[in-house]
Parts: sequence; structure tokens; C-alpha cells
Amino acid sequence: MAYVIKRICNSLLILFITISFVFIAGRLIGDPALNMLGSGASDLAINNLREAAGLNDPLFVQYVRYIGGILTGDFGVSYRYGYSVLPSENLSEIAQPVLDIVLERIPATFALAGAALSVAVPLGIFMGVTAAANPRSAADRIVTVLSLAGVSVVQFWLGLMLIVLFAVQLGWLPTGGYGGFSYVILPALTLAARPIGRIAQVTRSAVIQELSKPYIVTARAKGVPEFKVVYVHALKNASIPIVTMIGDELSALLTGAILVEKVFAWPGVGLLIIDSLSRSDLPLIQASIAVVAALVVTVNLLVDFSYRLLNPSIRLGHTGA
Amino acid sequence: MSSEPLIQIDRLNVEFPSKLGPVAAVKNVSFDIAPGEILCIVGESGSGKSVSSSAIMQLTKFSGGRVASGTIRFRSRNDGVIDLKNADEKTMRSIRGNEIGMIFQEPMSALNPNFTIGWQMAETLQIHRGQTRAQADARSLELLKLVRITEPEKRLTQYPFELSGGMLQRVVIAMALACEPDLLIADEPTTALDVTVQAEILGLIDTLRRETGAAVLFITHDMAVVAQMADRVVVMYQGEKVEEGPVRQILEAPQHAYTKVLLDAVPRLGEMRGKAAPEAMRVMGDDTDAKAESIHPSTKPILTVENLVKRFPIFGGFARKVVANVHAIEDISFTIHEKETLSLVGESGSGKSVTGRNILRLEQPTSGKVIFDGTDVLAQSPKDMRDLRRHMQMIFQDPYGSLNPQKRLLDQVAEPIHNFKLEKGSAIEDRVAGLFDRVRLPRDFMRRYPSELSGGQRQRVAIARALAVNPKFIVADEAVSALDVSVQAQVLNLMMELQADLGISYLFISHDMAVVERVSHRVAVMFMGRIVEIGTRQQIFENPQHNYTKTLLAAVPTLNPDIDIRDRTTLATKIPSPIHLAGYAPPKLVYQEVSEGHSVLINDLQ
Amino acid sequence: MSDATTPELDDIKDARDVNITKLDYARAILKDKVTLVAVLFLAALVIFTAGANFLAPHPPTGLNFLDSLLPPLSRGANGEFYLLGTDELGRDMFSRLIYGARVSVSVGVIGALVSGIVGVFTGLTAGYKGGLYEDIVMRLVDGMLSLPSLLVALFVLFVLGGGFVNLILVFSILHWMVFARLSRGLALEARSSTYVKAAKALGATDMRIIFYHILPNVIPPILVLLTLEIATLILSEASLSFLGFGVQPPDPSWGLMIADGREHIRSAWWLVAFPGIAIFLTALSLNLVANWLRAVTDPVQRWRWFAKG
Repeated sequence: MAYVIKRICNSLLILFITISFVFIAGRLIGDPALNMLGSGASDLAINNLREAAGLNDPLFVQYVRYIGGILTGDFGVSYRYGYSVLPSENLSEIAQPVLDIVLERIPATFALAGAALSVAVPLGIFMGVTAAANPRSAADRIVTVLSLAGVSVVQFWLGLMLIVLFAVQLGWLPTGGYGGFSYVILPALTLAARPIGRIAQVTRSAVIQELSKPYIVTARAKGVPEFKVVYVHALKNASIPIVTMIGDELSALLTGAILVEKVFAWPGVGLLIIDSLSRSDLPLIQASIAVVAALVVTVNLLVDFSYRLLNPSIRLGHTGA
Repeated sequence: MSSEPLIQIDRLNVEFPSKLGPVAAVKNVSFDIAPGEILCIVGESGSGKSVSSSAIMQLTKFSGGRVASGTIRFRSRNDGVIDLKNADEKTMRSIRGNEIGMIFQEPMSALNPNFTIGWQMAETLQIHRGQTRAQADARSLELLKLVRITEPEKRLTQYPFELSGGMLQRVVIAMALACEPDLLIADEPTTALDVTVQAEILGLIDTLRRETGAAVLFITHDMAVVAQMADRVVVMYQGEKVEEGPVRQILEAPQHAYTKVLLDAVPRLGEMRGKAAPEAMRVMGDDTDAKAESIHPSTKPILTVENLVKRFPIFGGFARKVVANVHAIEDISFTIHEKETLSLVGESGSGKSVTGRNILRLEQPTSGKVIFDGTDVLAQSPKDMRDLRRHMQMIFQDPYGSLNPQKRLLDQVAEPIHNFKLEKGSAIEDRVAGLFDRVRLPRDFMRRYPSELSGGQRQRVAIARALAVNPKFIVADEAVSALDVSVQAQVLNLMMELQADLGISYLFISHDMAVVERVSHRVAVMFMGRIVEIGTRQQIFENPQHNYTKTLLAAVPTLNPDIDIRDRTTLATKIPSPIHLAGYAPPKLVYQEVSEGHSVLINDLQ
Repeated sequence: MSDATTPELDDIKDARDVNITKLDYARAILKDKVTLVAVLFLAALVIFTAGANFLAPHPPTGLNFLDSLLPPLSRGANGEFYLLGTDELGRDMFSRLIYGARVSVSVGVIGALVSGIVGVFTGLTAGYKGGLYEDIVMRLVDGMLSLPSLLVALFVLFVLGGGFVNLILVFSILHWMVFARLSRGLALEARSSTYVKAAKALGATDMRIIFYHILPNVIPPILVLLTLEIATLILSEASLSFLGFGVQPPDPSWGLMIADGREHIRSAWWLVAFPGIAIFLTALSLNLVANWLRAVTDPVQRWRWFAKG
């Protein structure tokens, strides 16, 4: 239990550092209001935004206010949507907290990551185990080349090519946007290529390594059928590196989806980040990075805890010594 | 019991692919095993003894091997006599674990770390007997009782890492016996175990084959184990069978030269009885060592160890505080004189190697005092310590691991010469060449890499390297235990010769009682991090006082085939844990002097 | 010590423990067709990148509106041959790809080398020395590794601005930990190995042990990682440049070329297809070579690659 609490504290520390870093770095590039509104904006408008968003206070005061807000779940409001440029009011009618804007996008990102992983995990493990069971066979070579191809392809380019083929040329699927099942297929396949490759590779090498261990000889000498030797004895022992890789890939899907979301105009967090970066909308950038970082840190934490379930000697507390 | 052989191996050839084309690991080997018989195959590494046994089970193919020719006729319960060489996978599966059971060398790694003992035992029964898990568990319990494991119910729910090596080997044996096989193949089943555990396991196997009537194919490198176990013996060398016969005939009237070498090279416990000083080992065909003169140490101490303690902290909790300590060694004191060999003997976990490393400060001792030639070793600054290492060297157990695989032998032996700036330029190479001569390695080996050498040659390089700085004292940590017995004798003789010529003192760390008896002037027996008994070689071997010393001596297998070993089948004993909570202080050790120089621990570990 | 040894392996040590020379590696590559093709591709890439000025059939930046958006294998108004077609400004795609390789490949190689040197140094010293220094380094490594790296790269480039130098800077900051983690693990393993204990007993200094004894023994896995990282960085460069945060026009990087071609994707597919294929083949070749390197340097599995019969 002490371990769990320690790990959670560690993760919170990482999050805190990330959020602070983003806040400070964001102020280093000059006046946020000017960046946001552009040099064509009137002095009045810029001043007004500064005043309204508290940008005239000393940086330290702003920082403390910002962190204090986060602790109560308040990440501020978007410069673009949140403030009116009219002098009479501070916050516009449609002011929406940035956190809500980000959270609204989460389901779309999750749906995409989930769809991609549900293809990648079974396929990757199956490919990897098949290759490992027959090292240097034709199947092994095919799996190796295919999995390396999956890792080597540029995701957004693959997306573009799929669009050209299936949406533009064949007209079977939509080119992009958010909707029913048919909208998920192309972006999910695009996103799955890399995790399939990486999961297949790590499964292959972990299973090969396990298959060279003495306990495998024992299992064979007991008369255990070969498929069970591979899928039960070896795979179970290979599970820790595989789970680690799945966790890594899930993190990558939560962030790496940025490009694929852009190519397919998929309204997830990634697209929001790109949009807010290109508009220099600092509160929105800060909030979306914080949320994504929180997701990634959580995934890492879960992977870490899963080791304890997968490895009996850690689970039963026989560590150290 | 029928006199028909249970299994008949005829002109078996097994090949493995290699860089230079197929290599024959087993060449034209034939032997039979009768029902209920124990056949031992004995040989050193590379003899093909293990490959022959895995060929029977068709397991060689998984490591790339191929049975090139020959027949393996096995009398199966269901199918009559079949040739296992050509049997299909389905037939093989019905034989593996069912009609032929197998026991392996390394019990710690022979079981799947991720499944419980109960699951793994049940698996065999589920496959071959179609039993439910509950039925299988009941049978497993019976089997665990058969192999005399304590608390068998609890074992079923435990994972392999929760059991000791000796217990795990009992589990593996129980698993192999689950389906009442007609043949049990035991591949070096005790090599990885401590000598006291080995005695128990050997006794158990002998008892079980009498109880179950199973024939045993027992593979080993150890002639003493052969003497205890075998009905008949097959001697293998370089893939060929060189001799076969009843155990008594092999031991008493060996015919083949190699069998004689093997028998001669085995140090026999007790053969040094009555002699005060160490003597060289017998090495067939090596007359250069005929000068077997005995070495007499001086009375001047070179190394004094006082109350040496080493504890490894275990951290825990939030602040990574020390919550407990592994008490590796406790209160170790002894003295070594010039030109003397003191042996530290004990089983795994006894702390003998930790003691060696702490004396050289390769690890930092927790407390105590080490005086080397008048210098306080533990008080030296890191830089002074490096200089001091010139005079104190070490030879390690693993000749494969102790040499850097990426460096030429010349550079490895020159390493200390370079570090201590003893020579410059071409003088370095000359000095290395002289050292190669000294350990009788050809000079052209200087350009080679470790992978091109055999184990014995590597250990000679390690010795040359240690000698490079003219040390006065060498810690030899299991320096010969990884070597084949014929090579072991040569290396030991070299070490003794160097002691006679150069006056080196050794701290000789070993688990092998017979070797220790051969090479030592004085002996300290270690158990659980403590010296339980220390004295001259004669005092320890001819008049042991401590119970543990007696157990250890009794457990050593001897070349006498008449000893009945079944009564050694005791229940696996529980060893106290060396882990204690932080702040625990062990009692002060009290020694009683039995006679001059012979002390026994009397207040702890009785 | 290896835990995977059995008496059977002891018996066939002679067949397995053969000394493998450089010549054997060369033979093994020649036998392995897929890896051979990858090596040849990378060799060609290096030659074209280094000799772009002589080997590219057309200048990469010259405007020629007459030959705008020609498909592959077509001839221009003045009879020039365009192997891979032209872009909207009439520039030869093949030549632009060659010049683009310069940017993409050098970002990958330099980025991986810088992060490799930093990471290997910190990792090896941390793993060998241990103590507080190791604690701090590994805390930092774990912390930084748990961050979403693409996102951080995007944000830092948003703050610093894009460009070749900043890209390499960001890659080095975000990738040294991968090397550090690997090297630290290797150093930990080496520290407990007998040859390192022996070196210490023979009076070697810490720095000599780390860089003279340990480093040569851990080169293979580091080399494998370096190769993989080059591929990763080439892919990252493409992504960041595509989003407008990486290499800035008019430098022709492969990622930028895909971004430029995107608006013509319906009419001129080759503008997007060829740079993507170039990246794919480069990354795939690097991955194949790394994969092969890993296999032939793995002490347990390598025999399969050299065995005959």
C-alpha cells in the first residue's frame, strides 16, 4: 500500500512540474494578449484582454492564482472565446471554462484510441507469438517485416493515403469528420499500424526469450502440447514486457492521435491542441496539455500496478532481498 | 520382472548445426536399460551425455539438434515396442511425462515461476490421466508426501520462488513420478544443489526407484555420485561411449584410459588422513608435477581478520529507511600466515564469498578490522586502497565471466601492469609473455580473445593476471568449481606450485570438502555467516567437533559403492532466515578451544 | 550469470560458442536478403545525400511553371525527364526528395547521436556509481519518460520556434533518457558481472572500468537503440514539420513536402506519396538493420544466424 501511495505522489509531482513548466514557458514568448490578438488589434482591445485575464499582475501572482485555480478545478477561460473585447464587460456571455472545452473532446479521443487498440492488441500478440514459435521460418520473416513496416510508416501519411484510396478513389468511406462507425474505421486503422508492429515485436522477442528457459523443457518433458507450451507457459511469463508496451502505446495513442485527428478532422483533444497552438490561446493550451499529461501519467501508473498482479513474487511482497 | 530391456538405444547419432557445418554431439552410442535398473551416464562437458537423454524424449529438436541415425526402441505400455526416433508428436506427447519422466539440473529454473506448484503438478495429471483439478490435487498431495516434503498442503498453493532449491527438486521429482513412469531420466539432478541437499536427493531417488520399480537413467559428471547410485555405468567422452560395465567393475578395474583419468582426478575425501601439509593432485600423464613436495608455511601472519561483519540493508517505506538487514557474515576472525592456505568451506549462503570480497574491500564491510601485512585495510583512502590491491589479488569462480570478452588476453593480463604503472612500452608485453610461460600457456594465445579458449585455459589466464603484480596474497573464490574434474586437478596443482615457488598465501574459498582437504593447511567451516569451526586440516577432517562440520563431511559422496544412501532421505530441513529487523544485534559468538588452534562455536547455531 | 543454461547446452557448447568474425557477419548479411536490401538502400541514401549537388538531375528550388504538376515518368516542355513528376511550381520531385533527405536524415542522425552521447554517459555513470547520483538521474529519466514526448516537443517548438537547430535541441532533450535508461540497466548488469569485479580488484579506476571495460561490452544494444532512434526521429521530424513546427520552408524536408502536397492530394497524388514512401523506406531499412544487429549480437539466439547444416 505504501508503494501505491508513493507512486501516486510521484505522479502528482510530475504533473505539477509539467503544468508549471507549461505556464512559465508560455509566458516567455512575450505578451500573451498580443500573441493572441495579433499586432493588428487595437491597443484598447489588447489592454482590455490583459486587464480581464489578470495579465497585468506580477507573474508570480498570476502563477499562484493559476495553481490555486487548478486545485479547485478552474483552469481559466479561453482568451478567444472567453473574453469580450468590448470595454464594458469582462467576461463574455458565452464564456466557457477551458477545462470543459477539453473534457468535451475526451470521448472522441478515447473512442479512437480504444478502437485502434482493440485491433492492435490481439493482432499484435497473435503475430508475435506465431513468429516466436517458429523462429526464422517464413512466418517469422513475414511478421518481422510487417511489424517493422507498421513502426516505420508515417502515421499522418498513411492516413492521407487511405483517404485517397478508400474515400476519394473508391468512395467507400468518409474522408473525415465525426460520426458513426464508418467514420472510425480509417483513423483507427491508421493509428493501429504502429502499435500492431510494436506489440508484435515485443511479444516475439519476449516469447522467444521465455522459450529458451529451462522451465519450458520441463513443460515439454511433461507432455504438454506445444501450443499450450507457447500460449500458456511462455506467454504468461512474457506478459510484463507486453503489458508495458501496450501501456506505452496507449499513451502514444492519447497524444500521437494529434496528427491523425488533424488529417481526419476528428474532433478529439489532439485537434484541439493543434488549433489552440496555432491561435496562441494560452489557457486552452495549458489546460489541454495538463489533461493529456494527466491521462498519460494515469496510464503509466496503471501499467505499474499491473506488474504487481502479473508477477506473483512482487504481488506476494517478496521483493528486495 | 522381465529381463527384456525397457529401452534399447542402438548406434545413436545426434547432430547440431554450427558455423562449421553439422557437429556430431553423440556418435554411434548404444546402451540398454533394464526395468528397475539405474544406469549412470558419466562424462564431462561436451561428452554428449545430456544430448543422448534429450534425444530419447525427442527434445533435441527444440534446441536445433537432429537425430541423424540410430534407433531408440522403447517398450511402451500401450503400443508395444516403438522406435522413439520416428514416433510422431502425438505418440511422443503420450510418452513424455507419462511413461518417461524427467528431472533437471536447476530446480530453481525448471519450474514455471508464474504458476503455483499445484497448478504445475496438476497439469501433468490432467494431460495424461484426464483428471479434474480436484482429483489431480489429491494425487499431487500424495506425491508430495511420497517425496517427503514438509507441509505438502501448503506447497500446492505456493509459487516456486517461495521454496528452497532442495524442496523444488523434490517437487520436480514428484511431478516426474506423477503418472508412474517406467523410466525416469535424471539429468545432473544434484549438480546445482548443496552437498547436504544433494545427499538427501540422491537418497530419495534411490528409495523411490525401489518403491516404484521405475528404471532410472542418471546423468552426471561426478564419479562419486556414480558410485553411490549406479547399477551399471556408461562412460562418455567427446560424444562417444568409451566404456560400459557394472559399477564395481568401472570403479575397481577401469579399462579405458579416459575412465582412469576421470577416476584419478577425483579428490577422495579422507585420502590425506595423517598428512600435515597439502599435496599435489594426481594428474594422468602429467609427470612435470611429480615434485609434489609439501609446502610449509611460515609463522609470520600476512592477513589478520578481526570481528568482520557485513550486513546488506533492505530499504522500505516512504523515506527508504533501512527496515531490515541481511546478516551476510557475523563476527568473522582468523589469521593467515605467509605461504599458507586457509580454506573457507561452506554451502551456498554461508557467507564464504562475501568474506573474501569484504577482505579485499570489493564491498565495504559493516564493521570489523582487516590487517594486511601491517596495514589497516579498512582505513585506506580509495586511492591508497587501489595501491594496496597490488599485493592482494583475487581469482574468481567463473572463468567465462571473469575475463572481459572484448579484450585480447594480452590486454587483460597487462591490465594490472597498466593500472599500477609497473612497466612501460614493450616491457609490458615481455612481462605478460613471461606470465604466460609461468602458467604454461602458449605465448601466441596473447593475441586471442577469451571465447577462443577452454575453461581451464581461461582460468590459467585469470591466474596469470593475478600474478602480474607479484601479490603476496590471493583470494581464490571457488576458483576451480566451474571446471571439469580433469582440468580442475591441473589448475589446483598450478596454484600449489606457485605457492611453493613464490611464497603466496591463499584464502581458498570452496564448497568442495575433498578439494579443500587436498589443498589446505588450515580450514574454517562456515554456516549462516559464521565460522562454526576452525583449525588445521587434520583437526577439522580427522576430529570434527561441530555438528554442522560432521553433517557436511558425512554428506560428501564417496567412491565406495557399498554405502547405502537411502537412510539419508530425511525431511527437508528448514534453515533459519538471515534477515533480521533493523536494530537486531546477534549474540556475541563464543568459541571453545578444543586443542591448540582448533576452535568451535558453542553458543549459536547448535 | 545467465539463467538459461542446461546440461544439454553444456554438451553442445562447441557447436554454439564459435568465434564470430567480421567476415561471418558479412556472410550472414549476404545470406539474409531482406537485410541486404535494407543495407543497400541506406548506402544509396547516404551516397545521394552526400552527393546531392552532383547526383540530383535538377536544382531543387528552380521555378518552372510550364512543367507544373506533371505526373511521374513524364517529359517537360523543354524535354526534361521527370522520374517522379513535378510539384505545383514545376520543381522536379526526385531532386527535391534527394535534397529533402539531407534535412530529414541529418536531423535524425545528429539528434540521435547527441541524445545518445548524453544518455549513454549519464546512464553508464549512474548505473555504475549508484547512490544519490543514480537516484537523481533515474528520477529525472522516469519523470521525463512519463511525459507525452510529441506533445512536449510541439509545445517547446511553439515556444522556441521551429527550425533545424531547435528541432535537434528538442530531440536531444526529449530522447537522451531512452539511452540513459538502457545504459544504466547495462551498467547495473555489468557492475555485478565478474569481469568488472576482477577489473576493480586489479586496481582499475572507476572511469577506466566504465569506459574501457564496460562500454565496449555494451556497444551492441546501444547501437541497436541508436539505429532505432534515428528512425524514430526521422518520423518525428516529418510529423512536426507537417504541423508547421519543424523545419521551415524553403528547406525541403520530407515532412514539409507531404504538408505542401496535401492541398493537391486529389489531383496530384505523387506529391504526397513519394516523400511518404521515402520516409517509410528509410525508417524500415533502419529498423531492419537494427533488428538484424540485435539478433546476431544476442548471445543466446545468435547461433541460428551462423549455423550450417
